[in-house]
Amino acid sequence: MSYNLLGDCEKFHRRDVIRVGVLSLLGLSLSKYYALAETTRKNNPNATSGTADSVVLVWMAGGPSHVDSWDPKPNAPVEIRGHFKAINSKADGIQVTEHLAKTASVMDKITLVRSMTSPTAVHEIGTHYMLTGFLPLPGFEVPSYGSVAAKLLGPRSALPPYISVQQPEEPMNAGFLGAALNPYCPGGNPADGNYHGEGLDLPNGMTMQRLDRRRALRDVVDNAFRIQEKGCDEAHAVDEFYDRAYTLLSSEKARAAFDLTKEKPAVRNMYGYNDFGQSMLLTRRLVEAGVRFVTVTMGGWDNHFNIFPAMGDSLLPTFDQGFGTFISDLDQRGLLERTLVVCMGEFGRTPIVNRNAGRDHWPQVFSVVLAGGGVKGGNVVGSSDARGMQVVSSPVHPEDLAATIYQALGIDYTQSISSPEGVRITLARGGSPIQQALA
Amino acid sequence: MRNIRFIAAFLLLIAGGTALATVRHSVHRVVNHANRRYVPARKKQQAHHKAAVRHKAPVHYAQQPIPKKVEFLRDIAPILARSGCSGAQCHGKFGGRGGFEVSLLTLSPEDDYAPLVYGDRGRRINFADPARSLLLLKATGQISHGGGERFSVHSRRYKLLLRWIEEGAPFHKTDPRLKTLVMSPSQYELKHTGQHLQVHAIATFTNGKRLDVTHETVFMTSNPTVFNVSDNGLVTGTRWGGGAIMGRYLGVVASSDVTLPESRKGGYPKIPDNNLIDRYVFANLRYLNVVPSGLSGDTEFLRRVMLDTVGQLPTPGQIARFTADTNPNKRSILIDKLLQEPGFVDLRTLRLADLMRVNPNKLPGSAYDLRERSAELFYEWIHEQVRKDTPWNQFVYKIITAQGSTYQYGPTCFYQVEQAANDRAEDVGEAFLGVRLACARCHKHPFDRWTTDDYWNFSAFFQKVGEQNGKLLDEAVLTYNPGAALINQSVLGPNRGQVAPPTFLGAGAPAPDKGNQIVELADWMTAPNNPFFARAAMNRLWSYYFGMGIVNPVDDMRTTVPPSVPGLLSALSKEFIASGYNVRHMIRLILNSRTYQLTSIPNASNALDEEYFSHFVPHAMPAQVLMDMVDQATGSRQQFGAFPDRSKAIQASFPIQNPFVTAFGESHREFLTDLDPNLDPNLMQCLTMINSPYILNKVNYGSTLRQALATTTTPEDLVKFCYLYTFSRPPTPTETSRCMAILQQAKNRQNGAQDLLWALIASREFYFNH
Repeated sequence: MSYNLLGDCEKFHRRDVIRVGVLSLLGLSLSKYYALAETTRKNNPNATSGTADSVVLVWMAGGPSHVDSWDPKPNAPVEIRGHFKAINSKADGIQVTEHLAKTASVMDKITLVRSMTSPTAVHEIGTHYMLTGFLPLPGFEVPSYGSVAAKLLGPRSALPPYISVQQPEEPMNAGFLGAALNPYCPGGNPADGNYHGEGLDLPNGMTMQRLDRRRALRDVVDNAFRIQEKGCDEAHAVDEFYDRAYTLLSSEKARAAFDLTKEKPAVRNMYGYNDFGQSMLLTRRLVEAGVRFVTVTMGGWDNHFNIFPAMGDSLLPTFDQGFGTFISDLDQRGLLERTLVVCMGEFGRTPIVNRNAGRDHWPQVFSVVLAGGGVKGGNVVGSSDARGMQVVSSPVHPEDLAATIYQALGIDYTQSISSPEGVRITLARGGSPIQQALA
Repeated sequence: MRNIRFIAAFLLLIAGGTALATVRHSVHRVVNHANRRYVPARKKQQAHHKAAVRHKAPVHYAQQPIPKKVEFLRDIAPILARSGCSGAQCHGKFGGRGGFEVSLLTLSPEDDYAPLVYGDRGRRINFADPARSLLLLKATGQISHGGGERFSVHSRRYKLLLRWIEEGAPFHKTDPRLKTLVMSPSQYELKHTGQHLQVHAIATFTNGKRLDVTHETVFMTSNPTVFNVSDNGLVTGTRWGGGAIMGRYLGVVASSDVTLPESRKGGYPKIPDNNLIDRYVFANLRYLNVVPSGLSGDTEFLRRVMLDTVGQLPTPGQIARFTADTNPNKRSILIDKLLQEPGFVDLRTLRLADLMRVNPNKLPGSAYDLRERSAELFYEWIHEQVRKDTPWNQFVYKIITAQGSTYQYGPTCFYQVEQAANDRAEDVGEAFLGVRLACARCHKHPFDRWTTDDYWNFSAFFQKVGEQNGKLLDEAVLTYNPGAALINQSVLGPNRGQVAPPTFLGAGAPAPDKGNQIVELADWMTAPNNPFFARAAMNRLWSYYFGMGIVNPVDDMRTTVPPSVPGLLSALSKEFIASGYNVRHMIRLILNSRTYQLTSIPNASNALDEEYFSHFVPHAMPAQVLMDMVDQATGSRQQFGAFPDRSKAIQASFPIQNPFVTAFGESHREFLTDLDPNLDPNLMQCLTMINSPYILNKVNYGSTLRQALATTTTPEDLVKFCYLYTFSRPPTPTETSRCMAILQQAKNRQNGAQDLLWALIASREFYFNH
C-alpha cells in the first residue's frame, strides 16, 4: 500500500463499481443510456474529422525492455546495453535493436516515442493507465479507448466496431459504459491453418436458409413480448443485439473478414506462422473490412530472468516479422494512411541487467511506436538519457497518448463522458496530442 | 384535491382497522406523507412566511453590493467551484494544472487558500498591482489560459477577487464558517411539464448570518429525463416523475425533492392492496397520477414467482394444476410452499455467495485445493444459515466477529477476501450498509456526506482483525488484535498521516473501547437503531425481485438521492426489525404484495415508468438460473465439475465460468463490482443463443424434443407442447397458426420441432423474468 502515501486518487487498485442492470442515479437504465449513446453517435457525421478511420493497438503485455528494442544504448556499459547490437533503420539516424530488422526497414513510416513515462511499476495499474489514459480510480471503472470509440463513433460496417483478437485484458473492456461496448473476441487460434473465425461458423446441420427460417420463427414467438417491451428498455437492447448478431452471421463480407484461408500461403508465411503473426494478418483483414478499433495482444515481455535468449531468440523475431510485415502490407494496400497503429506495453524495463540476467519493471521512461493515420514517418519524439533511465526531453504521459488516439479518430478528447452514477470524466484528462508525432 | 386524498388515506387507516394493528404506524406515515406532499403552493408560502418570522429572510447574496470586507470562504472559494476551476479535468485534478492545484470540486475549501495565495511563491497574487495578479489575468483570459476565459472583468466574481486582493487576500481564523446548507423549497411539486421552479440555496454561517447563495452554488439534477436545472438553480420539468435537485456550496451538498405528476385526465380507479408494500407504492402512484397495471394472470405469476424463488420453470403439470385451482388463496399457498423448497435455499445462497464473493481465487495460500476447501466451508456455512433461517442481524454479526481457523469455520473467509482494513471497510459498506465509501478514501465524497475521516476511522475497526498462521499449510487463524492501529492515508484529509480512531459511520466521536472493538462494531451495525443496516438489506432484497432497488444503485444509498417510493424503505425496515430480521418473512411479504403480482404489460399511463413499480418490469435472471432454465426446457443436464450429475447451476459453490454463464453475466466474485451478477445485454449472449453448439445440442438431443415428437400427433399439439415447456403458457390461436405456417417450410417434422424449440428459447419471453 505504500503507493497510497504518494497520494494519488488514481493510484489505487482497480476497483470497479459499476452495477449493471440497475437504474442509475441519473434515472436512466443502461439501455436508455445506450440509446443516448446511439443518439450521440448519430449526431456525429459519418466521416470523422480525424486522421484515421481505424486504430490498431498492439499490446505487448508484460512491459518490453525499451533498451533492447526501440531505444538501444550501444555506447552504454554492457550491463546496460545488453547483448544486442543496434542497427540503422531506413530512417536516417534512427537505430533500433538488431532483432527488429524488418520493422527497421519500414521505419520511414514510423514515429518512435522514446520519452513515454508513467508513475507506476505495477503491471495491473500500468496496464490500466496505458489502455485507458487513466490510473485506476476507486469507485468506478474507466472505459478503454476502443469502447469509447465504439460508443461515440459506432460501427463502420456489419462487423462489431471494436474487436480484440485475443481474450481482452480487463482494462480493454468498456468499464462503466457497460458490457455492450466490450470488444468482440472471435476466439479460436488464428495460427491454425484452417482458421476462419470459428465463432461465426454455423454449427453442424445449420444452413443459412434454416437460420433465416429460425429467425422468422423467433420473430413470431417473440412478438407477444413487444407489449412488455414498451415498459422495459433492457428488452429493447436485447432485441438490438439480436439484430446485430444476425447481421454479423449473415453478412458474407463480415464472415469473410475472419477467414484466413482466403489468404495465400505466401502471405500467411510472410506474417509468420504463429499466434502473433497470424493475429496481425487477421487484424489487417479486419481493418480492411471496416472495423473501427482492433486490439492484438502479444504476451511474454515480463522478462525478469534470462532476458536475452527470451527476447533475441523468440519474442523479438516473432514480433518483428508480424509487426514489420503488417506495416508494409497495410501501406501497400493504401490503408496505412487512414489507420493509426499504436504499439506499446505497460512500462519499460530496468536499464541495468539484474542478477538473474533479466530486467525488472521500469516506468520512468519507455518507448511507444506510432504509425499511419496522421503520424509522421521516420521520426523520433523525445529521448531518454544515455543510460535509458530518465526522460531527457519531451516527456509524454499516458494522457497525451489518449489525446493522440482520440484526436486521430476525430473524437474531441476534451469532452467528458458520464458514468451511469453521474461521475464525469474527461476523455484525455489534461493530456494533449503528441504534436511532434503528428504529420 | 388535498382533502380527497387525505380522506381517502384516512379511510384506509380506519378500514385497515384492527386487522392491521401491527402496521398501523406505517400507514399513518403514508397519511403524513400524503399530507406533506399535498401542501398547495399557497399554503407552502405561508409556511415559508412563518419560518421567516423566526428567521429574517435570507439575503440574496449575488444581488448585494460587493462587501467592504471580502471573506475567503464566503466570497472567494465558491468562485473556484462555480467557474469550473476545481473540476477534475482542471485544477482539481491530482497534481493540478500548470502547477496550480486546488481541492477537487472545492470539497475542502480551507485547503485552497494556501495554493491560491502562497503557491509557487505567491506568484498568483500581485499585491503591488492587484489587477495584474496572475490569478485574474488567467481567469479572465487576458493572458493565455488552458481553461480559457472563466469570467469577464466586469463580472461580480472578478470584482470580488480584485477587492479581496486589494485588501491583502485575507483569510482570518475568525471568519465565519458554513454551518448548514439547505435547498429551498426542500420539496416541491411541479404541476406540468415546462413549468419552472427556482430552487434557492440557503447557507447559514457560524455567525448566524443566513445568505441566499444560489448564484454561488453548483446545481445538478438526479433525473435529467424528468427535469433540467440551470446554473442558477432554475428547474424545468420535462416529463412526469421525481428526483432530486442537488446543490453543492463550499463542499457541502444539500438537495431538494421535486416531483411532477402525470397530467393524465379522468378519474383514478380504486386499486386494491394486499399488504403494507402496496399501500406505499400505490399511494405514491396515486400521487403521481399514474395508474398501475392490472393483476398478472395465473401462468404469468406462476412462472415469475418460481423463477424468483427456486430458479425453476413450472412444469406443464404444475401449470395445469395451478390454473385449475379455484382456491382464492392459491397464490399465497404457493408462495409458502416455494419458500420451503430446497431450491429456495440454493438460490438465496447463490445471491449471498455473490455478495460475500465466495471464491477460492480470492483466498490467500499457495495450493488451490486448500483454498477451495476454505471457500467450500464458507459456502456450506452460508447455505446452512439460509436453511436454518438465521436472522439477518445474527448472520452478519457472525461474519463480522468471525474468529478461528479458516479450515474450520466458514465465515473467517470473509476477511480473507479483502485483506487491507480499508478494503474490508468498503466491502462491508457496500454489502451490508448500502454505502459506497470509495471516493472518501482520498477526498470528501463529492455526492455524499462522507469525509476522509469517516472513511479511515471506520476502516480502523478492521485493522484490529488479527491473523496468525495455523498449524497446517496455509491455515490462517483470525484473532482480535487490540493494539493494531491504522494510519489515515487520505490525500486531502485534515488528519492524513494520523492514527485513525475507530469510529462508527456518521457517529462523529470515536467509539469507546470496551475491550473488543470488532464486537462493538458488530453490535453497532446490527442494532435496531442503526440507520443503514436494515434499509440496505431491504433495498437489496427488493432488487432481487423487482430487478432494481427502491434507491439505486442498491449499494449506493446516498443521503442526496430520494427513494423512488417515499416511506416504503422505512416501513420495510421497521417490519424487518419487528420480525426479528427474518428474511424469509420479508420475501413472503414482497411476493404476496399486489405490486409484485402486477402484470408486466404496461397501460397507457405507465409505459414510461421503470422506477415506481407501476407494472412489473421484466428483468434478466442470474446466468446460473438461465442455464438451469435452458436445461429444464430442453430436458438436458449439464455437468458441473465434480458435482453429482443431478446438480443444478444454482447449486455450484463457486463461479462456473464456462462460456455460457460468462456471456450471461455470472459474477466472477473478484472485485467489489461483483457483489451482484452483471445482467447487461450484449452481443455475445445473442451469438451464444443463435449460434453455439451448446444451445443447439441441448435443443437437438434433449428429452423435450424426443417427447414432443413422440407424444404429439398434430402440429397444433406440437406447438402447444413446446410453448408449455419454454414460455410456461399455452400459445394463442394466432401464435399457433403463424408458427405452423413457418413449420411447414421445414425439411421434416423433427427439423421443424428443433427450430421451434430453439426459437422459443432464443426469444425474450424466455430470457426475461416478466
